[in-house]
Amino acid sequence: MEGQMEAAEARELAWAGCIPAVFSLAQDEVTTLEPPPCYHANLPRQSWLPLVTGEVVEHFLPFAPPMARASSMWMQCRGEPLRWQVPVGVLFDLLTSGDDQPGNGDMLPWQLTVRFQARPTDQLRGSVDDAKALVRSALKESAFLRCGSAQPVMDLSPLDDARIFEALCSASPIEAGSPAPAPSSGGSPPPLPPPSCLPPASPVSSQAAAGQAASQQTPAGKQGQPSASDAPASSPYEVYCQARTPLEASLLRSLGSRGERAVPTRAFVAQREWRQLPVAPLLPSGDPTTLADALALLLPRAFAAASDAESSGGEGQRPTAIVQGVVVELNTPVSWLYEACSHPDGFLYVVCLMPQSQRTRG
Amino acid sequence: KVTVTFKHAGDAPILKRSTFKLSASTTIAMTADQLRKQLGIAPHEPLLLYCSTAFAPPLDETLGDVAQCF
Repeated sequence: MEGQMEAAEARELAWAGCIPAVFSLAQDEVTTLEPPPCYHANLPRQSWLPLVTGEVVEHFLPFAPPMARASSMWMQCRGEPLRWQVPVGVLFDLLTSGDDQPGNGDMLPWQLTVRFQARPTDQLRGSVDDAKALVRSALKESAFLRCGSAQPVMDLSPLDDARIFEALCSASPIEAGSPAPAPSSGGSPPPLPPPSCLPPASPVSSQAAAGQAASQQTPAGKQGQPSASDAPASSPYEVYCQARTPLEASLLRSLGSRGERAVPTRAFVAQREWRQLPVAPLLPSGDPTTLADALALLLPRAFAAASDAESSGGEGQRPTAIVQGVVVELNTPVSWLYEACSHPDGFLYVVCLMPQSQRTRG
Repeated sequence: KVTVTFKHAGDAPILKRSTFKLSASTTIAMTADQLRKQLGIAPHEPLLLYCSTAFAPPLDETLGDVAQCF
């Protein structure tokens, strides 16, 4: 299609997306004379917090209360507990976006507070093994949605399984462990490299704008430091592709001559408000299902209200859809979006920002 | 309302009644809590729920969504 970026190119850009974050230990949990320095890290959008914050735990644990354990760590963003079950990029878009724009520029670096005590009772512990189990289960779930069977994921070889998590656990710390001024009043954090995020407000279907803007940004985390291991350095995306290829081939064999049953899609309005329903890749008319069609199915009340407002002459009432940190036009085919911007667990995550008029609910 | 049928696996206790009608807005976590009461499983003991014997749905997913998907 003219003017549309290739899905593979967009997928590589999505994998390069990182979020500069600053972690600080909650002041009421500091038990040493000197508070710990902040920890700076480049968090990959595609991964999950427990998989990329192991060094954060090691950094702060010595300063935490004596009974604190690594398994009891949880995090907050502006006082709101973070649900580690949600991918990093989706969390950032949910918690930092403004009225109808992703908050990429204004909210960087992402300020996160680390705690080891008084975890909310509805907040599950998030160890590395818990996160891996969640991702594996989600992979099976998305495979089931696509082809009616989780067998392609169950047939993954141990090597491919290890590759997936090697890719997900690859974070790119900015001078890992480098001390920074303590978060005291009047102090300002040290300058950080430019954010390695996808260009804001660039619809994915606009080839020229997204391609040019993305090429101007150098992903600080992607180049990073050379690997100290003997194996040749591969980017997380390349490692992931090595595992993904046999999985996709197995999925296609399961499908046979049939088309995919559904596009695994999750629409988030808030951390705890999300929907997942089977989204058919084609409409009954044979036209490709667009993002607007999918969101009308997943969030019927929001889109019904928008349609009513538009039909009565209102403007700007439609929710804004953000995928991988980029505002996406609602006429984008959802199949293309899935191929280009799905997460490693096989789901396409769409963050929906409600217009102001719909924010207050009865 | 969603009709849910539970099948025990491994060393899980057997339910006296295996089919229930639950509200579509009930989450997997709420379902697990109700099962714990039915089976007398303590909160610290693990209870795993699998859908179609294939995967564990997220705990905050509603039964209505799970039923429509699978």
